[in-house]
Amino acid sequence: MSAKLFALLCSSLVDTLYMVGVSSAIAFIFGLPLGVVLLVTERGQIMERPALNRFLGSIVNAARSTPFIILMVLLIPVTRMIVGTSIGTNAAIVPLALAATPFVGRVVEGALREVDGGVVEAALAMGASPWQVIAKVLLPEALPAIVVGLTLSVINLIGYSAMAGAIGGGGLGDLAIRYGYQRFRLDVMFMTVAVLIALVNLCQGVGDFLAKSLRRDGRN
Amino acid sequence: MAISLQGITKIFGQGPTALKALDGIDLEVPEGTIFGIIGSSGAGKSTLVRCVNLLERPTSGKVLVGGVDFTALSEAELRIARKKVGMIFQSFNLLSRRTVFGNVALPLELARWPRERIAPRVEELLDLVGLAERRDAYPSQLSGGQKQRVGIARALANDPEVLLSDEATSALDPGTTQSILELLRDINERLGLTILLITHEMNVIKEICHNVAVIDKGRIVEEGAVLDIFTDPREEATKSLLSEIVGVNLPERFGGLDFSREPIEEGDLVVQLRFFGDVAAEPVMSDLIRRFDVDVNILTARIDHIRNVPYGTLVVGLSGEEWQRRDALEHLRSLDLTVEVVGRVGKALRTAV
Ligand SMILES: Nc1ncnc2c1ncn2[C@@H]1O[C@H](COP(=O)(O)OP(=O)(O)OP(=O)(O)O)[C@@H](O)[C@H]1O
Ligand SMILES: [Mg+2]
Repeated sequence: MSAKLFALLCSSLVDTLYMVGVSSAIAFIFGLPLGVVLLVTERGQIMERPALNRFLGSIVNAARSTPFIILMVLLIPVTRMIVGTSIGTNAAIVPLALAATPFVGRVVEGALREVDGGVVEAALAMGASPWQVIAKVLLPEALPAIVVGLTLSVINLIGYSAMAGAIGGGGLGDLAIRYGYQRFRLDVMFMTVAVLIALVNLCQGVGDFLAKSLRRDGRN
Repeated sequence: MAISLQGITKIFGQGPTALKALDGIDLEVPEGTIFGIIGSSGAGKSTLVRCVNLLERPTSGKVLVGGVDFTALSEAELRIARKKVGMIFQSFNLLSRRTVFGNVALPLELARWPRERIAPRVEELLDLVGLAERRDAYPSQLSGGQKQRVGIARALANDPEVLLSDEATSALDPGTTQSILELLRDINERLGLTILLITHEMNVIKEICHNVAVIDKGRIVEEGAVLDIFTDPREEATKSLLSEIVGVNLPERFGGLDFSREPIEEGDLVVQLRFFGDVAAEPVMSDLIRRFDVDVNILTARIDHIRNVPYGTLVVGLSGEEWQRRDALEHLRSLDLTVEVVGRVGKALRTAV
Protein backbone atom coordinates (compact mmCIF):
# COMPACT_ATOMS: atom_id res chain seq x y z
CA MET A 1 0.00 0.00 0.00
CA SER A 2 1.33 3.40 -0.88
CA ALA A 3 2.10 6.01 1.71
CA LYS A 4 -0.50 8.28 0.16
CA LEU A 5 -3.19 5.70 0.55
CA PHE A 6 -2.15 5.02 4.11
CA ALA A 7 -2.42 8.71 4.92
CA LEU A 8 -5.84 8.76 3.30
CA LEU A 9 -6.95 5.79 5.36
CA CYS A 10 -5.69 7.44 8.53
CA SER A 11 -7.44 10.73 7.89
CA SER A 12 -10.66 8.86 7.00
CA LEU A 13 -10.41 6.91 10.24
CA VAL A 14 -9.98 10.15 12.15
CA ASP A 15 -13.05 11.54 10.39
CA THR A 16 -15.06 8.46 11.30
CA LEU A 17 -13.91 8.61 14.91
CA TYR A 18 -14.83 12.27 15.00
CA MET A 19 -18.30 11.73 13.54
CA VAL A 20 -19.04 8.72 15.71
CA GLY A 21 -17.53 10.33 18.80
CA VAL A 22 -19.45 13.59 18.56
CA SER A 23 -22.74 12.03 17.49
CA SER A 24 -22.45 9.40 20.25
CA ALA A 25 -21.84 12.11 22.81
CA ILE A 26 -24.85 14.08 21.62
CA ALA A 27 -27.01 10.95 21.49
CA PHE A 28 -25.99 10.00 25.05
CA ILE A 29 -26.63 13.47 26.38
CA PHE A 30 -30.16 13.54 24.98
CA GLY A 31 -30.89 9.82 24.93
CA LEU A 32 -30.15 9.19 28.58
CA PRO A 33 -32.75 11.63 29.94
CA LEU A 34 -35.11 10.53 27.19
CA GLY A 35 -34.81 6.93 28.34
CA VAL A 36 -35.35 7.93 31.97
CA VAL A 37 -38.45 9.93 31.04
CA LEU A 38 -39.77 7.11 28.86
CA LEU A 39 -39.60 4.78 31.84
CA VAL A 40 -40.63 6.87 34.82
CA THR A 41 -43.63 8.49 33.15
CA GLU A 42 -45.12 5.14 32.29
CA ARG A 43 -48.32 4.13 34.10
CA GLY A 44 -47.54 2.66 37.49
CA GLN A 45 -44.05 4.15 37.56
CA ILE A 46 -42.67 6.71 39.98
CA MET A 47 -43.65 9.81 37.96
CA GLU A 48 -46.49 8.51 35.87
CA ARG A 49 -47.65 10.84 33.08
CA PRO A 50 -49.39 8.51 30.63
CA ALA A 51 -50.15 11.21 28.04
CA LEU A 52 -46.58 12.47 27.92
CA ASN A 53 -45.34 8.91 27.80
CA ARG A 54 -47.51 8.04 24.83
CA PHE A 55 -46.51 11.22 23.02
CA LEU A 56 -42.77 10.65 23.50
CA GLY A 57 -43.14 6.99 22.69
CA SER A 58 -44.77 7.65 19.35
CA ILE A 59 -42.13 10.20 18.35
CA VAL A 60 -39.38 7.79 19.27
CA ASN A 61 -41.04 5.01 17.32
CA ALA A 62 -41.49 7.21 14.28
CA ALA A 63 -37.84 8.25 14.32
CA ARG A 64 -36.71 4.69 14.81
CA SER A 65 -38.77 3.27 12.01
CA THR A 66 -37.49 5.75 9.43
CA PRO A 67 -34.55 4.19 7.55
CA PHE A 68 -31.37 6.10 8.29
CA ILE A 69 -30.64 6.93 4.67
CA ILE A 70 -34.09 8.52 4.31
CA LEU A 71 -33.75 10.35 7.60
CA MET A 72 -30.49 11.78 6.37
CA VAL A 73 -32.07 13.11 3.19
CA LEU A 74 -35.09 14.43 5.03
CA LEU A 75 -32.84 16.26 7.45
CA ILE A 76 -30.77 18.07 4.84
CA PRO A 77 -32.55 21.42 5.38
CA VAL A 78 -32.15 21.11 9.13
CA THR A 79 -28.50 20.21 8.72
CA ARG A 80 -27.93 23.23 6.49
CA MET A 81 -29.55 25.42 9.09
CA ILE A 82 -27.37 24.10 11.93
CA VAL A 83 -24.03 23.45 10.24
CA GLY A 84 -24.31 25.73 7.22
CA THR A 85 -23.67 22.91 4.73
CA SER A 86 -25.06 19.49 4.00
CA ILE A 87 -21.71 17.95 3.04
CA GLY A 88 -18.80 16.82 5.18
CA THR A 89 -18.27 15.27 8.57
CA ASN A 90 -19.91 18.04 10.56
CA ALA A 91 -23.00 17.80 8.39
CA ALA A 92 -23.14 14.03 8.92
CA ILE A 93 -23.17 14.46 12.68
CA VAL A 94 -26.67 15.99 12.66
CA PRO A 95 -28.55 13.00 11.20
CA LEU A 96 -26.29 10.56 13.03
CA ALA A 97 -27.03 12.12 16.42
CA LEU A 98 -30.69 12.42 15.60
CA ALA A 99 -30.99 8.82 14.56
CA ALA A 100 -29.07 7.55 17.57
CA THR A 101 -30.87 9.57 20.24
CA PRO A 102 -34.17 7.63 20.17
CA PHE A 103 -32.19 4.40 19.97
CA VAL A 104 -30.22 5.32 23.08
CA GLY A 105 -33.49 6.36 24.71
CA ARG A 106 -35.01 2.92 24.17
CA VAL A 107 -31.79 1.21 25.24
CA VAL A 108 -31.68 3.20 28.49
CA GLU A 109 -35.39 2.65 29.08
CA GLY A 110 -34.87 -1.08 28.68
CA ALA A 111 -31.90 -1.10 31.04
CA LEU A 112 -33.85 0.79 33.71
CA ARG A 113 -36.80 -1.54 33.33
CA GLU A 114 -34.58 -4.44 34.32
CA VAL A 115 -33.96 -2.89 37.75
CA ASP A 116 -35.78 -4.94 40.35
CA GLY A 117 -39.01 -3.20 41.35
CA GLY A 118 -38.44 -4.29 44.94
CA VAL A 119 -35.34 -2.14 45.20
CA VAL A 120 -37.26 0.90 44.02
CA GLU A 121 -39.98 0.07 46.51
CA ALA A 122 -37.43 -0.19 49.31
CA ALA A 123 -36.12 3.29 48.44
CA LEU A 124 -39.64 4.72 48.37
CA ALA A 125 -40.30 3.13 51.75
CA MET A 126 -37.22 4.98 53.05
CA GLY A 127 -38.77 8.24 51.96
CA ALA A 128 -36.89 8.72 48.69
CA SER A 129 -38.27 11.28 46.25
CA PRO A 130 -38.77 10.24 42.63
CA TRP A 131 -35.61 12.15 41.65
CA GLN A 132 -33.65 10.39 44.36
CA VAL A 133 -34.94 7.05 43.14
CA ILE A 134 -33.66 7.89 39.67
CA ALA A 135 -30.27 9.16 40.82
CA LYS A 136 -29.55 6.76 43.67
CA VAL A 137 -31.27 3.58 42.60
CA LEU A 138 -32.37 3.31 38.97
CA LEU A 139 -29.33 4.73 37.18
CA PRO A 140 -26.63 3.17 39.37
CA GLU A 141 -28.31 -0.23 39.39
CA ALA A 142 -28.86 -0.14 35.62
CA LEU A 143 -25.37 1.15 34.83
CA PRO A 144 -23.88 -2.12 33.55
CA ALA A 145 -26.89 -2.69 31.28
CA ILE A 146 -26.74 0.93 30.13
CA VAL A 147 -23.08 0.46 29.20
CA VAL A 148 -23.98 -2.62 27.18
CA GLY A 149 -26.69 -0.63 25.39
CA LEU A 150 -24.44 2.35 24.75
CA THR A 151 -21.84 0.04 23.26
CA LEU A 152 -24.49 -1.21 20.90
CA SER A 153 -25.41 2.38 20.02
CA VAL A 154 -21.80 3.30 19.23
CA ILE A 155 -21.44 0.25 17.02
CA ASN A 156 -24.64 1.16 15.22
CA LEU A 157 -23.27 4.65 14.73
CA ILE A 158 -20.09 3.29 13.17
CA GLY A 159 -22.29 1.51 10.64
CA TYR A 160 -24.47 4.55 10.05
CA SER A 161 -21.43 6.80 9.68
CA ALA A 162 -20.19 4.61 6.85
CA MET A 163 -23.59 5.03 5.24
CA ALA A 164 -23.39 8.78 5.74
CA GLY A 165 -20.17 8.62 3.74
CA ALA A 166 -22.22 7.53 0.77
CA ILE A 167 -23.75 10.95 0.46
CA GLY A 168 -20.63 12.87 1.09
CA GLY A 169 -20.29 12.58 4.82
CA GLY A 170 -16.57 11.83 4.83
CA GLY A 171 -14.88 9.12 6.85
CA LEU A 172 -14.21 5.47 6.05
CA GLY A 173 -17.50 4.95 4.23
CA ASP A 174 -16.74 7.85 1.96
CA LEU A 175 -13.28 6.45 1.25
CA ALA A 176 -14.65 3.03 0.43
CA ILE A 177 -17.19 4.49 -1.97
CA ARG A 178 -14.95 6.97 -3.70
CA TYR A 179 -11.87 4.79 -4.12
CA GLY A 180 -13.11 1.28 -3.71
CA TYR A 181 -16.34 1.53 -5.62
CA GLN A 182 -16.01 4.38 -8.07
CA ARG A 183 -12.35 3.76 -8.96
CA PHE A 184 -12.49 -0.03 -8.64
CA ARG A 185 -9.77 -0.06 -5.98
CA LEU A 186 -10.75 -3.30 -4.28
CA ASP A 187 -7.69 -3.17 -2.03
CA VAL A 188 -8.91 0.14 -0.59
CA MET A 189 -12.34 -1.33 -0.16
CA PHE A 190 -10.97 -4.28 1.80
CA MET A 191 -8.71 -2.08 3.90
CA THR A 192 -11.60 0.12 5.00
CA VAL A 193 -13.75 -2.87 5.76
CA ALA A 194 -10.91 -4.36 7.82
CA VAL A 195 -10.51 -1.12 9.75
CA LEU A 196 -14.26 -0.97 10.39
CA ILE A 197 -14.28 -4.54 11.65
CA ALA A 198 -11.37 -3.79 13.95
CA LEU A 199 -13.13 -0.67 15.21
CA VAL A 200 -16.36 -2.50 15.98
CA ASN A 201 -14.51 -5.27 17.76
CA LEU A 202 -12.55 -2.78 19.80
CA CYS A 203 -15.76 -1.01 20.87
CA GLN A 204 -17.45 -4.27 21.76
CA GLY A 205 -14.43 -5.39 23.76
CA VAL A 206 -14.16 -2.15 25.69
CA GLY A 207 -17.92 -2.11 26.32
CA ASP A 208 -18.01 -5.69 27.51
CA PHE A 209 -15.06 -5.13 29.79
CA LEU A 210 -16.58 -2.00 31.28
CA ALA A 211 -19.98 -3.62 31.82
CA LYS A 212 -18.37 -6.63 33.40
CA SER A 213 -16.25 -4.62 35.77
CA LEU A 214 -19.30 -2.63 36.81
CA ARG A 215 -21.41 -5.66 37.68
CA ARG A 216 -21.54 -6.70 41.29
CA ASP A 217 -24.36 -9.17 41.10
CA GLY A 218 -22.21 -12.27 41.11
CA ARG A 219 -22.23 -12.63 37.32
CA ASN A 220 -18.63 -11.52 36.96
CA MET B 1 -45.47 4.51 67.90
CA ALA B 2 -48.78 2.74 67.71
CA ILE B 3 -50.35 1.87 64.39
CA SER B 4 -54.06 2.18 63.87
CA LEU B 5 -55.78 0.99 60.74
CA GLN B 6 -59.36 2.13 60.40
CA GLY B 7 -61.70 0.65 57.85
CA ILE B 8 -58.99 -0.09 55.29
CA THR B 9 -60.34 -1.31 51.98
CA LYS B 10 -58.23 -1.91 48.92
CA ILE B 11 -59.70 -2.68 45.54
CA PHE B 12 -57.39 -3.50 42.64
CA GLY B 13 -58.65 -2.69 39.18
CA GLN B 14 -62.17 -1.69 38.34
CA GLY B 15 -65.29 -2.97 36.70
CA PRO B 16 -65.94 -6.69 36.46
CA THR B 17 -62.28 -7.61 37.05
CA ALA B 18 -62.00 -5.55 40.23
CA LEU B 19 -60.51 -7.45 43.14
CA LYS B 20 -61.17 -6.58 46.77
CA ALA B 21 -57.81 -7.42 48.35
CA LEU B 22 -58.67 -5.80 51.70
CA ASP B 23 -62.17 -5.54 53.01
CA GLY B 24 -62.71 -3.23 55.95
CA ILE B 25 -59.63 -3.87 58.07
CA ASP B 26 -59.62 -2.43 61.57
CA LEU B 27 -56.47 -3.04 63.52
CA GLU B 28 -54.76 -1.54 66.54
CA VAL B 29 -51.07 -2.28 66.99
CA PRO B 30 -50.05 -1.08 70.45
CA GLU B 31 -46.79 0.78 70.81
CA GLY B 32 -43.75 -1.40 71.50
CA THR B 33 -45.37 -4.71 70.64
CA ILE B 34 -44.47 -7.29 68.06
CA PHE B 35 -47.69 -7.78 66.19
CA GLY B 36 -48.04 -10.63 63.73
CA ILE B 37 -50.45 -10.90 60.87
CA ILE B 38 -50.83 -14.36 59.48
CA GLY B 39 -52.79 -15.67 56.57
CA SER B 40 -52.55 -18.03 53.69
CA SER B 41 -51.27 -17.03 50.26
CA GLY B 42 -53.36 -14.33 48.61
CA ALA B 43 -55.12 -13.41 51.86
CA GLY B 44 -53.98 -9.82 51.50
CA LYS B 45 -51.05 -9.70 53.91
CA SER B 46 -48.59 -7.90 51.67
CA THR B 47 -51.25 -5.47 50.55
CA LEU B 48 -52.09 -4.74 54.17
CA VAL B 49 -48.54 -4.08 55.31
CA ARG B 50 -47.90 -1.94 52.21
CA CYS B 51 -50.94 0.12 53.10
CA VAL B 52 -49.29 1.13 56.37
CA ASN B 53 -46.55 3.19 54.70
CA LEU B 54 -48.79 3.88 51.71
CA LEU B 55 -46.64 2.01 49.20
CA GLU B 56 -50.15 0.95 48.36
CA ARG B 57 -52.77 3.63 48.82
CA PRO B 58 -55.93 2.17 50.34
CA THR B 59 -59.13 2.70 48.36
CA SER B 60 -60.73 3.88 51.57
CA GLY B 61 -59.92 4.02 55.26
CA LYS B 62 -57.38 5.71 57.45
CA VAL B 63 -53.84 4.81 58.46
CA LEU B 64 -52.63 6.38 61.66
CA VAL B 65 -49.02 5.92 62.71
CA GLY B 66 -48.14 7.52 66.01
CA GLY B 67 -51.40 9.42 65.78
CA VAL B 68 -50.54 10.97 62.41
CA ASP B 69 -53.02 10.28 59.62
CA PHE B 70 -50.72 9.15 56.79
CA THR B 71 -53.55 9.18 54.28
CA ALA B 72 -53.99 12.92 54.82
CA LEU B 73 -50.34 13.86 54.23
CA SER B 74 -49.00 15.49 51.08
CA GLU B 75 -46.37 13.60 49.06
CA ALA B 76 -43.56 15.63 50.61
CA GLU B 77 -44.89 15.20 54.15
CA LEU B 78 -45.35 11.49 53.54
CA ARG B 79 -41.70 11.14 52.50
CA ILE B 80 -40.62 12.63 55.80
CA ALA B 81 -43.09 10.50 57.75
CA ARG B 82 -41.86 7.34 56.03
CA LYS B 83 -38.40 7.81 57.50
CA LYS B 84 -39.90 6.84 60.86
CA VAL B 85 -41.26 3.59 59.43
CA GLY B 86 -38.58 1.07 58.48
CA MET B 87 -39.39 -1.85 56.23
CA ILE B 88 -37.78 -5.21 55.50
CA PHE B 89 -38.64 -7.58 52.69
CA GLN B 90 -38.72 -11.24 51.80
CA SER B 91 -36.36 -10.69 48.87
CA PHE B 92 -34.16 -8.25 50.86
CA ASN B 93 -34.22 -5.66 48.05
CA LEU B 94 -30.60 -4.60 48.46
CA LEU B 95 -28.81 -2.57 45.82
CA SER B 96 -26.54 -4.98 44.00
CA ARG B 97 -23.92 -2.38 43.15
CA ARG B 98 -23.52 -1.02 46.65
CA THR B 99 -21.53 -2.72 49.37
CA VAL B 100 -23.02 -3.63 52.71
CA PHE B 101 -21.80 -0.27 53.94
CA GLY B 102 -23.27 1.54 50.93
CA ASN B 103 -26.63 -0.14 51.31
CA VAL B 104 -26.94 0.83 54.95
CA ALA B 105 -25.77 4.36 54.09
CA LEU B 106 -28.47 4.79 51.44
CA PRO B 107 -31.34 5.90 53.69
CA LEU B 108 -28.99 8.37 55.38
CA GLU B 109 -27.91 9.77 51.99
CA LEU B 110 -31.57 10.07 51.04
CA ALA B 111 -32.16 11.98 54.25
CA ARG B 112 -29.20 14.20 53.29
CA TRP B 113 -26.99 13.41 56.23
CA PRO B 114 -23.52 14.93 55.96
CA ARG B 115 -20.92 12.37 54.85
CA GLU B 116 -18.88 12.53 58.05
CA ARG B 117 -21.88 11.61 60.16
CA ILE B 118 -22.94 8.74 57.91
CA ALA B 119 -19.87 6.55 58.45
CA PRO B 120 -20.06 6.28 62.24
CA ARG B 121 -23.80 5.69 62.10
CA VAL B 122 -23.41 2.89 59.57
CA GLU B 123 -20.66 1.27 61.67
CA GLU B 124 -22.94 1.39 64.68
CA LEU B 125 -25.78 -0.24 62.76
CA LEU B 126 -23.52 -2.95 61.35
CA ASP B 127 -22.36 -3.72 64.87
CA LEU B 128 -25.96 -3.98 65.98
CA VAL B 129 -26.77 -6.61 63.36
CA GLY B 130 -23.40 -8.35 63.70
CA LEU B 131 -22.04 -7.64 60.22
CA ALA B 132 -19.23 -5.22 60.96
CA GLU B 133 -16.59 -7.37 59.29
CA ARG B 134 -18.54 -7.75 56.05
CA ARG B 135 -18.90 -4.03 55.46
CA ASP B 136 -17.12 -4.07 52.10
CA ALA B 137 -18.85 -7.14 50.71
CA TYR B 138 -21.42 -6.90 47.95
CA PRO B 139 -24.88 -8.47 48.43
CA SER B 140 -24.07 -11.24 45.95
CA GLN B 141 -21.29 -12.34 48.30
CA LEU B 142 -23.60 -12.71 51.31
CA SER B 143 -25.83 -15.50 52.57
CA GLY B 144 -29.59 -14.97 52.82
CA GLY B 145 -29.41 -14.39 56.55
CA GLN B 146 -26.61 -11.85 56.14
CA LYS B 147 -28.58 -10.05 53.43
CA GLN B 148 -31.55 -9.78 55.74
CA ARG B 149 -29.28 -8.39 58.46
CA VAL B 150 -28.20 -5.70 56.02
CA GLY B 151 -31.88 -5.10 55.28
CA ILE B 152 -32.57 -4.71 58.98
CA ALA B 153 -29.62 -2.38 59.53
CA ARG B 154 -30.79 -0.30 56.58
CA ALA B 155 -34.35 -0.19 57.91
CA LEU B 156 -33.09 1.02 61.29
CA ALA B 157 -30.78 3.71 59.92
CA ASN B 158 -33.18 6.61 60.31
CA ASP B 159 -34.09 5.60 63.87
CA PRO B 160 -37.59 4.51 62.99
CA GLU B 161 -40.18 3.85 65.63
CA VAL B 162 -42.04 1.30 63.59
CA LEU B 163 -40.65 -1.64 61.63
CA LEU B 164 -42.72 -3.35 58.95
CA SER B 165 -41.70 -6.81 57.90
CA ASP B 166 -43.12 -8.50 54.83
CA GLU B 167 -42.24 -12.19 55.10
CA ALA B 168 -38.72 -11.28 56.16
CA THR B 169 -37.78 -14.86 56.97
CA SER B 170 -39.71 -16.72 54.30
CA ALA B 171 -36.68 -17.10 52.04
CA LEU B 172 -34.46 -18.39 54.86
CA ASP B 173 -33.78 -21.83 56.26
CA PRO B 174 -35.10 -22.65 59.75
CA GLY B 175 -31.83 -21.98 61.56
CA THR B 176 -31.31 -18.64 59.89
CA THR B 177 -34.96 -17.76 60.44
CA GLN B 178 -34.42 -18.36 64.13
CA SER B 179 -31.42 -16.03 64.30
CA ILE B 180 -33.20 -13.27 62.37
CA LEU B 181 -36.24 -13.58 64.64
CA GLU B 182 -33.97 -13.31 67.66
CA LEU B 183 -32.45 -10.17 66.19
CA LEU B 184 -35.93 -8.69 65.69
CA ARG B 185 -36.91 -9.55 69.24
CA ASP B 186 -33.69 -8.01 70.50
CA ILE B 187 -34.39 -4.83 68.52
CA ASN B 188 -37.92 -4.71 69.85
CA GLU B 189 -36.68 -4.97 73.42
CA ARG B 190 -33.64 -2.72 73.15
CA LEU B 191 -35.03 0.02 70.97
CA GLY B 192 -38.68 -0.24 71.95
CA LEU B 193 -39.61 -0.51 68.31
CA THR B 194 -43.15 -1.44 67.32
CA ILE B 195 -42.89 -4.32 64.86
CA LEU B 196 -45.68 -5.28 62.50
CA LEU B 197 -44.76 -8.47 60.77
CA ILE B 198 -46.64 -10.56 58.31
CA THR B 199 -46.01 -14.19 57.63
CA HIS B 200 -47.68 -17.34 56.52
CA GLU B 201 -45.77 -19.38 59.10
CA MET B 202 -47.25 -19.94 62.54
CA ASN B 203 -43.75 -20.72 63.76
CA VAL B 204 -42.73 -17.13 63.24
CA ILE B 205 -45.74 -15.87 65.17
CA LYS B 206 -45.12 -18.37 67.93
CA GLU B 207 -41.50 -17.40 68.23
CA ILE B 208 -41.66 -13.65 68.71
CA CYS B 209 -45.13 -12.13 68.48
CA HIS B 210 -47.10 -10.80 71.39
CA ASN B 211 -50.30 -10.39 69.44
CA VAL B 212 -51.56 -11.93 66.29
CA ALA B 213 -54.30 -11.23 63.80
CA VAL B 214 -55.47 -13.80 61.31
CA ILE B 215 -56.34 -12.47 57.88
CA ASP B 216 -58.44 -14.41 55.43
CA LYS B 217 -59.79 -13.15 52.12
CA GLY B 218 -59.00 -9.57 53.01
CA ARG B 219 -60.66 -9.61 56.41
CA ILE B 220 -59.31 -9.96 59.93
CA VAL B 221 -61.12 -13.04 61.17
CA GLU B 222 -59.50 -13.48 64.54
CA GLU B 223 -57.24 -11.41 66.71
CA GLY B 224 -55.73 -11.58 70.16
CA ALA B 225 -52.78 -12.51 72.33
CA VAL B 226 -50.72 -15.24 70.69
CA LEU B 227 -51.22 -17.68 73.55
CA ASP B 228 -54.99 -17.30 73.42
CA ILE B 229 -55.21 -17.75 69.69
CA PHE B 230 -52.92 -20.74 69.70
CA THR B 231 -54.67 -22.54 72.46
CA ASP B 232 -58.20 -21.66 71.59
CA PRO B 233 -58.54 -20.95 67.89
CA ARG B 234 -62.11 -20.21 66.88
CA GLU B 235 -61.98 -19.78 63.13
CA GLU B 236 -61.37 -22.39 60.50
CA ALA B 237 -58.69 -20.23 58.87
CA THR B 238 -56.80 -20.09 62.17
CA LYS B 239 -57.16 -23.79 62.79
CA SER B 240 -55.82 -24.69 59.41
CA LEU B 241 -52.83 -22.40 59.84
CA LEU B 242 -52.24 -23.81 63.29
CA SER B 243 -52.45 -27.40 62.20
CA GLU B 244 -49.12 -26.93 60.47
CA ILE B 245 -47.32 -26.60 63.79
CA VAL B 246 -49.66 -28.12 66.30
CA GLY B 247 -49.88 -31.05 63.96
CA VAL B 248 -53.32 -32.30 64.85
CA ASN B 249 -54.45 -33.17 61.39
CA LEU B 250 -56.00 -36.47 62.31
CA PRO B 251 -55.56 -39.06 59.67
CA GLU B 252 -58.85 -40.51 58.60
CA ARG B 253 -57.57 -43.90 59.61
CA PHE B 254 -55.03 -44.64 62.29
CA GLY B 255 -52.62 -46.92 60.53
CA GLY B 256 -55.07 -49.55 59.41
CA LEU B 257 -57.38 -49.21 62.41
CA ASP B 258 -61.01 -49.07 61.74
CA PHE B 259 -61.59 -45.53 62.87
CA SER B 260 -65.01 -44.01 62.79
CA ARG B 261 -66.43 -40.62 63.58
CA GLU B 262 -69.68 -42.37 64.47
CA PRO B 263 -70.08 -44.15 67.80
CA ILE B 264 -69.21 -47.81 67.57
CA GLU B 265 -70.56 -50.13 70.18
CA GLU B 266 -67.71 -51.40 72.34
CA GLY B 267 -65.23 -49.17 70.49
CA ASP B 268 -62.45 -47.27 72.16
CA LEU B 269 -62.91 -43.57 72.62
CA VAL B 270 -60.49 -41.35 70.68
CA VAL B 271 -60.03 -38.04 72.42
CA GLN B 272 -58.01 -35.02 71.44
CA LEU B 273 -56.59 -33.00 74.31
CA ARG B 274 -55.09 -29.58 73.91
CA PHE B 275 -53.26 -28.24 76.87
CA PHE B 276 -51.20 -25.22 77.65
CA GLY B 277 -49.38 -23.66 80.52
CA ASP B 278 -48.76 -25.57 83.73
CA VAL B 279 -51.17 -28.40 83.05
CA ALA B 280 -48.60 -29.79 80.72
CA ALA B 281 -46.32 -30.57 83.59
CA GLU B 282 -48.91 -32.46 85.52
CA PRO B 283 -49.01 -36.20 85.05
CA VAL B 284 -52.49 -36.20 83.60
CA MET B 285 -52.20 -39.54 81.90
CA SER B 286 -50.90 -41.59 84.76
CA ASP B 287 -53.49 -40.00 87.00
CA LEU B 288 -56.18 -41.07 84.57
CA ILE B 289 -55.01 -44.65 84.52
CA ARG B 290 -54.71 -44.86 88.27
CA ARG B 291 -58.01 -43.27 89.16
CA PHE B 292 -60.30 -44.66 86.50
CA ASP B 293 -58.64 -47.91 85.62
CA VAL B 294 -58.77 -47.19 81.91
CA ASP B 295 -56.10 -48.00 79.36
CA VAL B 296 -54.62 -44.99 77.65
CA ASN B 297 -53.04 -45.29 74.23
CA ILE B 298 -51.26 -42.24 72.93
CA LEU B 299 -51.97 -42.05 69.23
CA THR B 300 -50.24 -38.82 68.34
CA ALA B 301 -48.70 -36.13 70.44
CA ARG B 302 -47.05 -32.84 69.81
CA ILE B 303 -45.61 -30.58 72.43
CA ASP B 304 -44.04 -27.20 71.88
CA HIS B 305 -43.47 -23.84 73.49
CA ILE B 306 -44.83 -20.41 72.77
CA ARG B 307 -42.42 -17.94 74.25
CA ASN B 308 -41.54 -20.35 77.08
CA VAL B 309 -45.07 -21.49 77.78
CA PRO B 310 -45.54 -25.17 76.98
CA TYR B 311 -48.53 -26.23 74.95
CA GLY B 312 -49.39 -29.29 73.06
CA THR B 313 -51.86 -31.61 71.53
CA LEU B 314 -52.40 -35.20 72.39
CA VAL B 315 -54.65 -37.70 70.75
CA VAL B 316 -55.36 -40.67 72.98
CA GLY B 317 -57.49 -43.75 72.81
CA LEU B 318 -59.29 -44.65 76.03
CA SER B 319 -60.35 -48.22 76.53
CA GLY B 320 -62.14 -49.84 79.40
CA GLU B 321 -65.70 -50.31 80.52
CA GLU B 322 -68.19 -47.82 79.20
CA TRP B 323 -68.67 -46.16 82.61
CA GLN B 324 -64.93 -45.98 83.24
CA ARG B 325 -64.39 -44.17 79.98
CA ARG B 326 -67.27 -41.84 80.74
CA ASP B 327 -65.84 -40.96 84.15
CA ALA B 328 -62.37 -40.49 82.67
CA LEU B 329 -63.76 -38.16 80.06
CA GLU B 330 -65.67 -36.27 82.71
CA HIS B 331 -62.49 -35.89 84.69
CA LEU B 332 -60.53 -34.64 81.68
CA ARG B 333 -63.21 -32.06 81.02
CA SER B 334 -62.88 -30.79 84.57
CA LEU B 335 -59.19 -30.05 84.02
CA ASP B 336 -57.80 -26.97 82.36
CA LEU B 337 -57.75 -28.68 78.99
CA THR B 338 -59.56 -28.45 75.72
CA VAL B 339 -61.17 -31.84 75.21
CA GLU B 340 -62.69 -33.01 72.00
CA VAL B 341 -64.01 -36.46 71.24
CA VAL B 342 -62.89 -37.13 67.69
CA GLY B 343 -64.27 -40.61 67.18
CA ARG B 344 -64.03 -44.24 68.07
CA VAL B 345 -62.12 -47.22 66.93
CA GLY B 346 -63.01 -50.84 67.03
CA LYS B 347 -61.36 -53.31 69.33
CA ALA B 348 -58.35 -53.70 67.11
CA LEU B 349 -56.92 -50.59 68.70
CA ARG B 350 -55.27 -52.32 71.56
CA THR B 351 -53.29 -54.70 69.44
CA ALA B 352 -52.42 -52.21 66.76
CA VAL B 353 -50.80 -49.58 68.89
N1 LIG C 1 -50.93 -4.62 42.25
C1 LIG C 1 -51.92 -5.52 42.24
N2 LIG C 1 -52.83 -5.51 41.25
C2 LIG C 1 -53.85 -6.40 41.23
N3 LIG C 1 -54.06 -7.33 42.17
C3 LIG C 1 -53.19 -7.39 43.19
C4 LIG C 1 -52.08 -6.50 43.28
N4 LIG C 1 -51.39 -6.79 44.40
C5 LIG C 1 -52.03 -7.83 44.98
N5 LIG C 1 -53.12 -8.19 44.27
C6 LIG C 1 -54.08 -9.25 44.61
O1 LIG C 1 -54.55 -9.02 45.92
C7 LIG C 1 -54.67 -10.24 46.64
C8 LIG C 1 -53.85 -10.17 47.89
O2 LIG C 1 -52.49 -10.14 47.53
P1 LIG C 1 -51.32 -10.06 48.58
O3 LIG C 1 -50.04 -9.94 47.84
O4 LIG C 1 -51.61 -9.01 49.58
O5 LIG C 1 -51.42 -11.49 49.26
P2 LIG C 1 -50.49 -12.12 50.38
O6 LIG C 1 -51.36 -12.46 51.53
O7 LIG C 1 -49.32 -11.25 50.64
O8 LIG C 1 -50.05 -13.46 49.66
P3 LIG C 1 -48.62 -14.20 49.67
O9 LIG C 1 -48.53 -14.98 50.93
O10 LIG C 1 -48.71 -15.09 48.47
O11 LIG C 1 -47.56 -13.16 49.53
C9 LIG C 1 -54.24 -11.33 45.68
O12 LIG C 1 -55.39 -11.90 45.13
C10 LIG C 1 -53.44 -10.61 44.64
O13 LIG C 1 -53.54 -11.25 43.41
MG1 LIG D 1 -47.20 -11.40 50.23
